[in-house]
Amino acid sequence: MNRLERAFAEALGLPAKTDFAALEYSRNDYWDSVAHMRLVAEIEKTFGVRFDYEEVLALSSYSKAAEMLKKRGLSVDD
Amino acid sequence: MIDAGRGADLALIDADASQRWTYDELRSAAREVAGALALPAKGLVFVFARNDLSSVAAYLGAVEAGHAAALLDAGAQAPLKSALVEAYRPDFVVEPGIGGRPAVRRRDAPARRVHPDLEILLATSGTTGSPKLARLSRRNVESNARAIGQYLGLDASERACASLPLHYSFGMSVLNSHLAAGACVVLTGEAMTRPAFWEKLSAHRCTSLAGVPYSFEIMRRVGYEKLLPPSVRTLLQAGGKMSEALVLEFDRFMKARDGRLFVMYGQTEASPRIAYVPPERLPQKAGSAGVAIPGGSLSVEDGEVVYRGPNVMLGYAESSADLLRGDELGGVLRTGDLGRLDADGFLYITGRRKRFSKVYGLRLALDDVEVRLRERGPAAVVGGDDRITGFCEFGDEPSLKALARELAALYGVNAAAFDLRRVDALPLKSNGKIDYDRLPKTHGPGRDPSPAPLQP
Repeated sequence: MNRLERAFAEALGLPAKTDFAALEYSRNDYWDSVAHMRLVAEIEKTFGVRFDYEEVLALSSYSKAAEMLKKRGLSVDD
Repeated sequence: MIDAGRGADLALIDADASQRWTYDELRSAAREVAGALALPAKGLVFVFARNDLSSVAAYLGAVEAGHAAALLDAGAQAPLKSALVEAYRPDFVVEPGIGGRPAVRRRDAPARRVHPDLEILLATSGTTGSPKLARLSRRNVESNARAIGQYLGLDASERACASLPLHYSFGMSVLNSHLAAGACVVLTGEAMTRPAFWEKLSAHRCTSLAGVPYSFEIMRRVGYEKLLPPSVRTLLQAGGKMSEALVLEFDRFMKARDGRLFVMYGQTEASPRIAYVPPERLPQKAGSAGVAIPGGSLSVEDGEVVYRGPNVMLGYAESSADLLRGDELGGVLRTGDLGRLDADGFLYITGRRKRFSKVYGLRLALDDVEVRLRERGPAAVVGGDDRITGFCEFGDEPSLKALARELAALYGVNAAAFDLRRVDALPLKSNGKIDYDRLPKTHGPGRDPSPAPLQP
């Protein structure tokens, strides 16, 4: 798992063999509003970033999260 | 319950299905459901509810048919649902359906009498894992809906966003109080963490929004200043004690837009509203649960908060046989909360007599959780706001994580609510009982410190 996958697994309590690329809000039982706030905090902590309000709402899939980090010039790999 | 609503006025908007009902249409939908629930005598209807038109029709239809209706979570796990069906043997099970038409199933029920006063059954949040329900009468529910309407000043111009689940007493009271006032209720299953929630709130010009303390933390993190449409004039908070910092922040924000924040206190056992803080008494009374609602009174007896009023439940039920029981409390509810009243009659909650935790608005009994953990080995459970920590003398990280998920599914809360940790040995007192004071300190509520931590 890369750093972002680990953050998702930790925050949403997902098993390691999850298909992270296909992960979307509300398509996954573990990803509800409570888990969402936890996920945002976990990614912020892992990557030392602070998402703005719009980003907190827009973070609706694994690929969206990866894109937001990429925009900041951050790599999800170790 | 919907007497005040005039025929052609809007009663319900299903924001997810884009469908709306006038009061006439709501009445006719409820009548249609009532027709499908015909029985020679008063029976029991299980309404597995979602926030949609069909669930409201099912609820009001069951009541119209003269039956007792248990409002339950349509999203609950199958084993929990069947345990409830097994314990209560309902005459009908009603599930959400499309186009505002619920799916009605007749079941074999035992010959029994249902008490004439019993109208609504709701799960008490402290016992989500067990089939214990609060028994409420029509008088309980209607008097509470009217009292809420009175102190909120509800009228037909209101449009409440009902995003809390209908099977949750707070969610039910938002629906009841607005229908009793002839107002409109906007139903949605969307969460505040989704952009669609805020779009719907704005598109349907909602005038009020209700939430538990965690909802207000979410609102803060997603930027409520921009997201709350100008139509929203009233925020309702209940379902646990909110931090004073959040009360002050939202009070200031709402007053600046000529709106109001209502901080409220209640229990499912009181149908559910017990107290509220009049907005003009904020910020002075921040931290208080408020004064008694109209028609009720509060006292503190031996340190325990006692509420008296027409909305105090008849009693609990644990099985079908209990449906025959009448009023066992006589309008007096010992809340189990510890508190004090100030000179102005404002209530301040200081703790719980029994060990409970409020987890995302839901009350969970710590001893109940502990019993479940002890099925696997020695364990001790402590609770904070939005998190329950279990210290276990068994398991490893992956197995405890899996167990936390299992517990969360059982109680119907997010897995983040349970933090299970491995310890070598639980601290014991000389009498062999667990010494809770010597358990490792847990750091506050159920979330990690982040760059700008959410206040507990």
